[in-house]
Amino acid sequence: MKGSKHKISLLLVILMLFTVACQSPTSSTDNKTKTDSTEEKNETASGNSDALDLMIPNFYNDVEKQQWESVVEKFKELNPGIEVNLTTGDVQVESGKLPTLLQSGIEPPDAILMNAGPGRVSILSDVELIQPLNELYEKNNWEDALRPFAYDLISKGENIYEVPHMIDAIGMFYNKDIFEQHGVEVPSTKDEFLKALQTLKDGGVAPITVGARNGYAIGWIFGVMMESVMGTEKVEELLYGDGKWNDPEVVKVAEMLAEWVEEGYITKESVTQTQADSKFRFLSKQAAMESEGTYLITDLADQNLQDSVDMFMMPSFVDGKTAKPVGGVGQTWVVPTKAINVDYAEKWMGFILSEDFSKIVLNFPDYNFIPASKASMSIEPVGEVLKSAMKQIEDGSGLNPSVFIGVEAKEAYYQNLQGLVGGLVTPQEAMESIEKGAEKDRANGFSLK
Amino acid sequence: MSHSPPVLEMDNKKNVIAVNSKARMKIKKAITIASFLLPGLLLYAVFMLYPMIDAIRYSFFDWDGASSTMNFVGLENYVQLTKDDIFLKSLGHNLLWVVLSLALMVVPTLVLAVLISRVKKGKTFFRAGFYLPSVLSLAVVGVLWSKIYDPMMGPINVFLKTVGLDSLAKNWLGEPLFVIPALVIASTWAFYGLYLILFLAGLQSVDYSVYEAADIDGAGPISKFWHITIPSLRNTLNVVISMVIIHALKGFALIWIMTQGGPFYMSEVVSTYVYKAAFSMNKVSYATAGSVVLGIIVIAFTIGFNYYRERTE
Repeated sequence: MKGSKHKISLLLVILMLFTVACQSPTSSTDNKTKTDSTEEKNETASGNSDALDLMIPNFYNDVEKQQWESVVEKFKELNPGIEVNLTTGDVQVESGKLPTLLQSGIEPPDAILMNAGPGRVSILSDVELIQPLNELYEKNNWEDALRPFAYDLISKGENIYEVPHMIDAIGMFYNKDIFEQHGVEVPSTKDEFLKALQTLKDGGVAPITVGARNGYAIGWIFGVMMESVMGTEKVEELLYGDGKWNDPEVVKVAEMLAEWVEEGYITKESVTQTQADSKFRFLSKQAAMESEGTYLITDLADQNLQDSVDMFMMPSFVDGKTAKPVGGVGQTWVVPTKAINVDYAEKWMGFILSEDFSKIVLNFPDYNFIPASKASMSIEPVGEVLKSAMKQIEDGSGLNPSVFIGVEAKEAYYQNLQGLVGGLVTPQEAMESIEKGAEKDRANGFSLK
Repeated sequence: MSHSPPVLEMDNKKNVIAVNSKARMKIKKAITIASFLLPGLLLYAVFMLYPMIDAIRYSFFDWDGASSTMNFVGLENYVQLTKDDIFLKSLGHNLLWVVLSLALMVVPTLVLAVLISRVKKGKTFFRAGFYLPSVLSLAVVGVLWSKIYDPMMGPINVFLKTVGLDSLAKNWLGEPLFVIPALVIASTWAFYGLYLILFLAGLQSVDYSVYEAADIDGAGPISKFWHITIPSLRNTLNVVISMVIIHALKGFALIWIMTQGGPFYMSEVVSTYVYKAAFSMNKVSYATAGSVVLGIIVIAFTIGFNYYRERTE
């Protein structure tokens, strides 16, 4: 019997160990107060309560890494005593990794720099994975610290959940040497643009490369095309007003995309090409143009291509109008609901909106983002491409739909644009499907109004 | 008052002691059995049964994956799945995957195993060589095959173009007709080593004297393969077929890395679809219902196959 008792005790111990092991560090603390969180500070794995944990997107190259290191150094200099732990990761909502991280119960970073847009941020805010920042906005007067265009974009709802980091400016990057070789000038009208496409194709070079396998990348070029063909107001009406994806104006853009594939201006193979593949093709001079944001600038620096690549916006196809690079807020800071050092996160976000931050980053010759702060508007960047992009969005930018649509519409948007490039769906069918997705989003309460 | 004789009393006492010790033995035996079974059962219950039961429970709610409240919606998620064209398309792709996997995996692997078992020298080299892809992570396999299928720079198309067969150079992961077969081939390459080893193990247990008897009877190689090898490998074949079916129905990693279900849902399978629904669209309960349906299909396939196998035996 004594032996049996031992066995039973052993089993109980095993059971206990399992129960303890299966419990996540923050499970059952859903309703924890801030006080609890603060008390937990001293129990974190790092054991360092003076550390600010930040998570930012993966570095594309060493140039970006060095820039971030300088930024962090400056922050530490201005805030002595605060350690900064900078980690990188996949911060895309579409891949599911960010929601999974925040749902997992693992202690989250204090602030996360994620791909922005109401269509993305709402996925996290709707389920309270990130916290509203209204109080911090009021306390720090961040409304005044942001470019009005950026503040407008993030303050449509009852609560504000983000602090914009940068403004996107997506347009057409082009290889100057390829243009020169084929006698093509930077086009300023619809006809010139179409002629350039034909000339490049006739010259045996792929006019445009697209990484359509990544939804956001096919979304970039479609957003640029929408801005050029429909104009900002029509796109705004579609995203913020009563416009529909199956309206003739939008179908016309889809038809144009399909036509460009048909004509060979965009290679049909683009459907399976990732954004990384497409970028490689563009930077290795296998294609003349690629629709990209200013993020490309650090890659240009990394590969010493600053002098041979430049950017322009696709000309407006609407008489008398000028098309603007598209975007909106490109990357934005959010604070997870379970963040511990919210006060440090507040200091960090204040720093991002400060003149100190803008001065340091815009002085990097190869900096690739347009800061969202008002302070940055009076500072001229050292880099030529960024200077040109900043000038083009002085009065605001066009809208990149990927950033502004709900989850159902976005999934349909990405898949159907891929389908258009692959010749797998007709323009009308594609736009009908996206509209169906948008209808579902509306039924689920998604609205930008 | 009568007293029972002392001898009888002694017998009774002995009987009681005997019964007690028997019962004690039984308890001891039960505890011993339990102590062996419990750790496994406990693990199974914690990591398999509990999540499975919880998943079924969630499928009757409208949980978004994070909020503290959820509403009971009954069978609504399942009803919606029956109306969801993409989910139905995904199911169809899963079934196509099963058929192609069976065709590409079972027979060629069996033939290869038989050939390797006949090799006199370098058997270990071939075994190790063919098993090598199985030790690679699926992420590596996915990237590798994406490059192989690359329409511009992939070796398949480069070769076809070099030998003048340009018309056969396709966008393997971009055309509806080719995308699933291309993915199945990549998956087959990643897993055939495992099945090969299973077949080789099975072949080692085949009684060699049966082949000798067949030789004396004048049986040819095909006849021996058909009438001796196949029946002798019946159990191994059952295991392999079951594993291929299960793997084909629940495959995720390779598709996610190579196509993410695209282009235009052409390679969407249930697992990629439910992943997107759960983690990109916050429709956790809906995704769970999809997973439950897939789980039921996997179980039904496995039970059905085993039932058929037992009947034919």
